[in-house]
Amino acid sequence: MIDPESLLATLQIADKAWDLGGKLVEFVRQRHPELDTRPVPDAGAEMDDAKADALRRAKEG
Amino acid sequence: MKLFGLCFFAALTTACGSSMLDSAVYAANGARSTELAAGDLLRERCADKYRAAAQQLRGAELVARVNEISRTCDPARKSYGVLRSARLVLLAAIVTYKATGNDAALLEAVRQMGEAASSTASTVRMLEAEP
Repeated sequence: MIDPESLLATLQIADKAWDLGGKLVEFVRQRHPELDTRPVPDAGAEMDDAKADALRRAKEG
Repeated sequence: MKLFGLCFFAALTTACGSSMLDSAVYAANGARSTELAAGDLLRERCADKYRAAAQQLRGAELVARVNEISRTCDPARKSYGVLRSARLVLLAAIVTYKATGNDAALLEAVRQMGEAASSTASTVRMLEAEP
């Protein structure tokens, strides 16, 4: 069983890391134009949302 | 997806003919293209299927269909996430290498990028094989 507080703390750290990652990409974009750092939309998050929505509808009957 | 495999193979093996840095930049740019194409497939073969199922089915039938879709989509989703992270790590390693000249992190990041791309290619191939 996962401790909810530990999970929340982990997610908060991951969220901050992701935010820092975004800032890093912006930094790289400005200084190293040979690298293609244009943002790519997160299709995984889109899939997660669609799946969660389907499961929610299933529960609602 | 064969194209992605060839792209990465070329990126990882051209280190002999050009600098490690050039190869890493080539791999990072190739990974972005892979990420875009894999993302399109995830939308088409997973997100759209979940949406269609949610429109057509209810209750236990819908849960069963979601589980069926997830059998191939969950592994592809994980690989896609790893690929995105590996590309970010590779970008960081390239910048670090440019600043310090230390190639240890760069070599490791390129290796991980190759593994992530390979894993994505194989899980996405499973998606492509689905009806």
